[in-house]
Parts: sequence; structure tokens; C-alpha cells
Amino acid sequence: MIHDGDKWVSDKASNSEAETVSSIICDEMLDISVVTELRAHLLEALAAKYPVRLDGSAVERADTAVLQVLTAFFQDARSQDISVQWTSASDTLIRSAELLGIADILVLKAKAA
Amino acid sequence: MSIDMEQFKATFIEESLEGLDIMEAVLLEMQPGLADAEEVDNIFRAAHSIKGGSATFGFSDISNFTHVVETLLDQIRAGEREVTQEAINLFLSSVDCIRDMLAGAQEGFEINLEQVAEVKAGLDRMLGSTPEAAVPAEAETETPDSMSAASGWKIVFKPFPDMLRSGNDVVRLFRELADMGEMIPKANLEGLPALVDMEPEEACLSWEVSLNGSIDREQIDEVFEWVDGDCELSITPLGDEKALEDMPAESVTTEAEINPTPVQAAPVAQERRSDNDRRQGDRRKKRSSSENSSIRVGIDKVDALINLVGELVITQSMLGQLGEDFSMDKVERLKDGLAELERNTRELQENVMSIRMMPISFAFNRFPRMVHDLCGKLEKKIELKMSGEQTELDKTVMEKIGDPLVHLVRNAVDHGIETPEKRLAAGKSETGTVHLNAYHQGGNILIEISDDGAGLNRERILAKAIERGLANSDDNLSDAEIFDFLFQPGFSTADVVSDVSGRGVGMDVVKRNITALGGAIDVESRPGNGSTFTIRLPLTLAILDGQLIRVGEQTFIIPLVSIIESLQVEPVRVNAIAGSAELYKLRDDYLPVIRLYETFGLKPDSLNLEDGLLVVVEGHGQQAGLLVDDLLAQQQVVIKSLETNFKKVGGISGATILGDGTVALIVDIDGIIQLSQNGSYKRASNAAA
Repeated sequence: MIHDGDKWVSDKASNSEAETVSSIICDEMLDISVVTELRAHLLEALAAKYPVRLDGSAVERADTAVLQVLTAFFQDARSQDISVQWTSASDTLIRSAELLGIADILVLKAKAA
Repeated sequence: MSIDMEQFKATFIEESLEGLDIMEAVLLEMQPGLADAEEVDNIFRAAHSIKGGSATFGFSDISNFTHVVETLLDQIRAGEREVTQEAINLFLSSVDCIRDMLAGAQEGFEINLEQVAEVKAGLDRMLGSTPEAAVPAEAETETPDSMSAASGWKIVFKPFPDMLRSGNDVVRLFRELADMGEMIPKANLEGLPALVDMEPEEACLSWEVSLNGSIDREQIDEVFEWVDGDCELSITPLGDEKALEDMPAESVTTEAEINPTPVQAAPVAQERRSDNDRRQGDRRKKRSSSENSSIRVGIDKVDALINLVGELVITQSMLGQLGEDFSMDKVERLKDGLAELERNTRELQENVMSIRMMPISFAFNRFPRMVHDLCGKLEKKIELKMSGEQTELDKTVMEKIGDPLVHLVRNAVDHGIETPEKRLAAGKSETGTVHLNAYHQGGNILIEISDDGAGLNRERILAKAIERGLANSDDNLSDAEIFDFLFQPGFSTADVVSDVSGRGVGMDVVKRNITALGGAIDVESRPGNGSTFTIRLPLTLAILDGQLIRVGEQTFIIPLVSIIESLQVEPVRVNAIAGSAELYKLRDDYLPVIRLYETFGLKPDSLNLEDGLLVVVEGHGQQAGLLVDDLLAQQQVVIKSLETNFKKVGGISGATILGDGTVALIVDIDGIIQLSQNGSYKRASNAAA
């Protein structure tokens, strides 16, 4: 199903920093209904080979499907030497990753501390 | 000469499964102490056939097990034994066991030996023999009751790939576990592919969880109740892993062997669970995989096909003769022959399609048992009524609608129908009713799931929607619009509709599955009187009746069921709003005008509205006018997946190949209305900026 209405994630290169980065802003609902779209954005970011900045500050819900995709993304990025960082992550996002035991892989645990 | 016993084995298993269905249906109707001789005969005959067949094919475990069932039934038949509720429940459990054993024999995997031993012990006890001798010592000592309130638990949890699609979420399950005590989850990433190879909606991870605290086994079982049959699950007291490793090798299933590290002991522990609902889930899983392999077709349908092929052969030979010495004076006969050929082909197509049509009773049949089991668990009294079971539906649609139906019926039983006390207090009879109904309407099949329970709580849903930012407090929303919020992702039905917390089923997934089938779902509800969920589905996914239209040089197809009317545009009836969207006044309504050439980026014959035609369509619960250059023919088209052959395109649901070999795209009406709305907003915001 095509996700309707508001665009929940944007993917763009930014020149405001010293180096070019791919920025992905997560919208509040990160669940299975948007996971295919999210995966496409993450694949684009991997293909671009630039460092990736994720903004998860607005996330109100993160489900297993999405966290799984993020885990695969972080692993792939690591193996391809692409740096991935959260600019910010909501408590819900961190808590959900902790519940699944993947906060370390997603580098979310340190933020919670 | 050797005989291929495999083909007979498949038939035996199929017939045995049908026999078990009969046994189950009769047992569910049976009242304690009131066994009808004919009913008992029916069950006895089914058990007897299974016993005989399984002995012939060398399935001695099935044969031995069924022998005990048969003996008990024989005693009941002879009037030596009374029918008790305990006996009925035991026979139902036996049906589950035999079904599992048959599925194991068919698919070649090991079965839950302990579960079988447990039920057999019950049967032996009833027969008066010594059950202890028949049960392995482990089974007796490790029943859930004896394991309650341990100091901690080790949970090995491996979701099946499809689990997430059915609305279940591991985050939610683990949150409930974390509420019970100290939870230490360890994710196993072995099954996680690279992102590029990943099927994002499929579960790939598995977990090993340590849960510390004085927690009853039943509490954990409850958490995993909704994923029964959708996962491999092992729950063992902490420090008891050693005992599991010592279990005999034959107790471990094939699935465990594939993933030896975390789930070696999973099936063993899973067997300990004696919950009926879990078996129901397991069975559903196994049945659905075997159902894909074959289809049973009535002899009348096959005869009709043979007749039609006969006619086709006659027409073909007539045309062949005509072609041998053709002259212009025979042109009329040629036309007649071609018309005949067309008729034969159409009838043949219709008949072949009808082979795929199956009565919806195949989907409904699981519900009497499910409702029976849920009633016991929830201590509710519910009568399940079913009507329209013979309504036919495409096999593929049927298989895909099964899970959404299960969710809706479960919700009706769990959240919809009140407890007997509450019903009596509300002046209703203590027995609630859940009604499943199916019927054809136009090119669709409608399935209604209604209950006479408490109904949806409009105010709480609205409050939740406002809280979630889905609606404003000053919005004047209709009931339908408010109830539609239930299908929003993350909108917890448990919070809103009932007091049963924490296991709200993802209604968004239910809706998504139905939409993916080209269907729609509506809700009606009245406080105190219950709710009705209506699912509208196309009869088949393979063929649709389409209206061919032209936009510029391109031909598109609009599903005929979506078209309400077509009309010539009168410019005076067109209003532009804020310089962006256009509305067409049709009688008392205003329809948004969607210029298809704009949506698809094509060059039209003319940009003027009055030069085109407006096709009024309905989708996504609203009407719209599609502006096209011309209406062409109407015809049945075979749907080809665009996603499989190319990629997903917004506003397009598929493609087809026309008679002249060109490809025509099929317009997704819901999608196009949504696309145009988003486009209008964009135009409006651009204009504002």
C-alpha cells in the first residue's frame, strides 16, 4: 500500500557540514506499513557512500520490522565503512531497541545513558 | 511391477483430514449426556477409516493412537459409556493430535511427541488403563502447573517469517515481559540478511530472553498467546537447560535442526504447552501450507469443462474445413464460426475460473472450534452463527483472507462480546452472538463479521485520535470517519475498545491485507448493540472486467466495478478551488476532477475539460471524476503484476496485454484518488508560498 499524506522521511545530501552527508529524518510512526519505503531510503543512503545522519527525535512508535531493517542497515554500513550517527533519538526509539536487545548494534544505548 | 504408494498416501492423508474435519464439526455440536447415535457413528467411522488407512501405510503411531479413540467411541456407541464434557474435550484434543501426526507424516517432520503422549494418557485414563505407563516421565513432571512461579525463565523465541505481517510485534511482547521482571534480551542476528536481500516485512531475528523474577508460567504463556502458531517458542525455568539437552534426539523437530544454536530445545518445550488455542494456530499453519498443493473440484465442473472442450474441437474442425477451400461466398459461415469460437473461449474461461472458486465455508470452518476454545478461555457464552457458507470465492483470495478473518472474529469474541454478567446487567441474554455472513454483490463478495456486544466506544476512539493528532477537537466527524481511525497504524484497539489490555491486534494490518487484495473494510457500530465489520473483496484476482479508456496515445483500463457513470463535461459545472483543485457539480454532489494526463505526465488530445469525458469512479470511500480523452471498449482483462515484472508504480494496480499485443496499464482507483489529493495539497501549498 502506498503511504498516504505526509511524507514521513526525507533523504537528501547536505553541504552545510564540512563533508557531504546523507540525512534521514524519521517521522513519528516507524512501523511495518512504512518499512519498505524506509528500506529503500536506507539502501539509497548506502549506495551514496556518504556518512549517514539519522534523526529519530520525532519517533513515537518503532516496531520490530523497522528495527530489524535498521539493524541490517547498521551492519551493512559498518561492513562498508560508512559512518552512521543518530543526531537525536526519542526515548521511545531507544526503549524499543533496548527491548529487542539491539540498542548496542544501533548505537542507541549510549544516547540513553 | 512396483506400485507408487506415494500417490495413495497423499489421497489417504487428504481423506483423513476431511474425516477429522467431520469429527471436529460433530464434536463441537455434541452436548454432554445427549449423544445422538448417528453423531457417534459418524465420528466412529472417521476414526475407524483413519486407523485402518494409517496401519496400511505404516503409520503405526497414528494407528495406535486412533485405536484408543476408536475403542472409546465404540464403548459410547454401545451405550457402555456416557458422553461427558471431558470426553468431548479429549476427543477434540485427539483430533488435533491426529491432524498433527498426519501433517507430520505428509511433510516429513517430527511431531510433538509429548503432546500426543499427554492426550493418549488422558484417553488411557478414561479407558481405565494405567496412563502413567504410557507417558514419558518428563511429560508428567514438566506440566505447566508444576512449573509455575519459578525464580526465572529462559525464553527462546523465533518468529516465523510471516509473523509480523499478521500484526504481531515483538517490541510489544517484550515490553509485557519487561513489565513482569528483569528482562535481558539477546538478539540472534544469524538469520538477518544484508539490507539489499532483505524482505523487510518478514521476521529475520530470533531471541534468547532471560526473565528474572517470581513469575508464573501462565503469565508468560499469556504474552505469547497471540503468536501461537506463528513462532517457535521454548520456555524453560532458568538453569534447566541441561535437562533439555538430555532430551532424546527424536523429540527435536526438523526446524530446530536447521537452526541448532538458539532453538535446539524449542520444540520440546513447546510441546509442553497444552493450550487448545495454540494447537489451533499450529494446525492452521500446517493446513495452509498443505492446502496450496491441491484443489478438489466437483465432478460436475470437470464434466462441464470436457463438454466445452468438445465444442471447441468441433468449432475448430469446422473452421479448419472452411479454410481448406475458402471462397468469398463462405465469409458469412466464417463469421459464424469465429463467433462460435469466441463464445466457446469465453465459456471455457469462465468455467476454468470457476474451478478456482471454492465455497467460503473453507475459511469459515475453523471458527466454530476457535470460538469454542476462546469462550472457554475468556469465560464467555457465545453462539456462532454462520450463513452464506456456500458463497464462492477465488482460492487465492480465500487463502489470503483467512488471517484477517481470524483477527476480526477473535476481536469480536475478545473485545466485542461482553462477559455474561455484564450482558445480564445490560438487559441482554447472557449468550452473545457472533454472526459470520457472506454473499455476492455485483462483482464482489461481501463478508460480514457482526456481534451483539457492547459496540465501539465512539468517544474514546475520537479522544485517542485527537491525542494522536489524527483529528482536531472541532472536527465534525461522522461515525464512519471516527471508526476508520481504528485502522490507523499503532492505534491500539485494546486501549480503546475493551479493557483487555496489551494484546490489541493490528487492525492496520488487517486493513492492509484486505486492501492488498483489492478489497475494502467498513465498520458500523451502535453503542450497546454491537459492531459489524464488512469486508468487500473481488471474486478473483486473476481477471477483471475493465473499461478501456484513452489518454493521449496511451490506453488505460479502469475496473468496471469502480465506475459509476461516464459523462460529457459541462464547463459551467466546474469550479476551481483556491486555484488548485477542480470540482465538478454532479447533481447535489461536488466531485474532485482528476486530469489523468496530469497525473501520468502525458500529452492529451486537448487541455480543455469540455473536449474530454468524465468517468465518475468510486474508491477509498469517495467519488471522483477522471478526465479522459475517449472511452474505448469494455472487456475482461487478465491482470499481470507490474510489481513482479517491472516495479510498483503509484496509481497503477497492474497491467494487461490487449488483443493487439500492446500493454495497457490498469488504474488503481484508490491510489489515484490519494495521489491526486496529495498533489492538490502540494499545489495548494505551493500557491500559498
